[in-house]
Amino acid sequence: VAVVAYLFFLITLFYLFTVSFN
Amino acid sequence: MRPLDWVVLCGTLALIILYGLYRGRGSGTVSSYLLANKTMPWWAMGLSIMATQASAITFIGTTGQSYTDGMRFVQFYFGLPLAMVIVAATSVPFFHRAGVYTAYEYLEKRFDSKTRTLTSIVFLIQRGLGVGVALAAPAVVLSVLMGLPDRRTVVIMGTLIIAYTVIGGIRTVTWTDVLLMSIIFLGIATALTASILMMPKDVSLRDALYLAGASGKLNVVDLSFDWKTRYNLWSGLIGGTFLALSYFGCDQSQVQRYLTGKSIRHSRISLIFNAVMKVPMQFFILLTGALVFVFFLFDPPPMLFHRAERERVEKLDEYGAAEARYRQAFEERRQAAAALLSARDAAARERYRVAEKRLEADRAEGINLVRRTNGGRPYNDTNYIFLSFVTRYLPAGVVGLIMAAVFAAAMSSISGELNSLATSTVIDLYRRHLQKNASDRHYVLAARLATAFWGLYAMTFALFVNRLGSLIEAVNMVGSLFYGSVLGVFVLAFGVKRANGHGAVVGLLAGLATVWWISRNTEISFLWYNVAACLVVVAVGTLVSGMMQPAEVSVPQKASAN
Repeated sequence: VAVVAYLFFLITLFYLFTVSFN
Repeated sequence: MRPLDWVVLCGTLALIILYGLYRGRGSGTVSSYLLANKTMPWWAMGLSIMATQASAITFIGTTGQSYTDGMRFVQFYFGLPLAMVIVAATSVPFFHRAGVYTAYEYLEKRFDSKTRTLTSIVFLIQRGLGVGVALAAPAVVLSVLMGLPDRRTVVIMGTLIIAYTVIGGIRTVTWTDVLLMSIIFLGIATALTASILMMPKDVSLRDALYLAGASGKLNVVDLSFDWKTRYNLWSGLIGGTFLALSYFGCDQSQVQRYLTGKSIRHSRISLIFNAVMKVPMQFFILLTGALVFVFFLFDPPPMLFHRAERERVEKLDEYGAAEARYRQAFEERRQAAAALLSARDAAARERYRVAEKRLEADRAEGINLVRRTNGGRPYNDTNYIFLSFVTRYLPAGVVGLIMAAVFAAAMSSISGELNSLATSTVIDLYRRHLQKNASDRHYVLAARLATAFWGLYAMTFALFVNRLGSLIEAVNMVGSLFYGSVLGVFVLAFGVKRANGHGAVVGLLAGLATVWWISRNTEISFLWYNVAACLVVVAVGTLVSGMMQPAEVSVPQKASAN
């Protein structure tokens, strides 16, 4: 049938999670 | 622990070990005993890599850390996927093509015998200390929670792990790891689900996240840069990458996992599998800890989670009054949390924070009572929080499953470490310096004896260290001093053409001295030690290699295994 992009996608997701809840 | 829990715990572990021994039969040659004849598929190696890294303290300590300090520890793992990519692209093809048993054996092919011997001895010291801690730390916690003497827990765990590791070698270790890691995943999912389902009926998951956030527990990403802050985005991305490079690229306990691969392709994909799975796994473990914190907003937590210490101070006259104040403070915090959920405004948030601070102050009183009666030793019950929740609130059977996951994490990390310690002892020291031309059978026997030796050493260390509490932290600290320097030697080997053995050894010693100085004289967080050490080793190693250039290195040669 990317790993680095996946990592930064996760970090962005976690950052949005932090901003939304913390 | 109820009878059903013991059945689940013992039954699960017994079946896993029997399966591992069945898959490991026929390990009669050095290649099969130490490298599984290079027949492992990527998914088995990937699960084994994860299982070796996940110790029992990873599971029970991380949830406790989230309870007390929030989820920011997840940033520690942000460098891991980057390191996996670098290791897959560089170390894997170098090691596979060189046909080595250990990472340090490669250094002799690239440099000389003294570099190999020195780095393998550094590994044996560092990992030897680590395997003792890996057995001691969970044994202490499990003893307290299961009501067993810690001596018995160490002996039972140690004997079990030594037995199957000695008998089956790496094939048994890997196939056992596959099932142990599956149990760990199941344990994490069960714990997370239980922490959600145990919430009061009128507290939804969104409410729970709101309260965890209001308590500062959902601090997953911190964008600020500070050398002294242990966990932020930058220390995770930069320092974490160097730490993971050291661990996965230079530590035999991990290198040996992916040296068993069918091909470079399988080894690379096993590392990529780890890169994809690790960060989300740690996120969910930490989220469980944050949700357990919210659970204890509505159900009174013990003032002291360490049961043995609590039972000791309960006899003091002052304990009753301190406990009563703590209960009163808990009730005020519970009401403040409920009010915050209803109002969700700044005033309610401020009232909640004041109540939270008061509860913490009352808990500190309890901790002071412990310190007054234990000779002033530091008190830390982080590792007891999660399992206290599990054993007190979860139903029979589920407790056994989560305990099986904790045991699985301990067994998988220790067996991998024993196997790699034995490999380096036999291949890098015994076969290289003491007995160069013995039979295959002789070296397999030597590897079995070395595994038993390191296992018995770990048990002795664990029995001894339990009497010395904070020594565990000191041992972890010593381990972190070595990592970056060994990474620097491998960077020289892979990336600096003019580097030679003299430069590598002098660079390694300079790196170790640098980290020692930084740790003693600055407040820089430990994640940066590896960066500094690696850079010093590469700089000094390159410089010294230039000054002490042996004639043979100036002749360009094609990379090969011979």
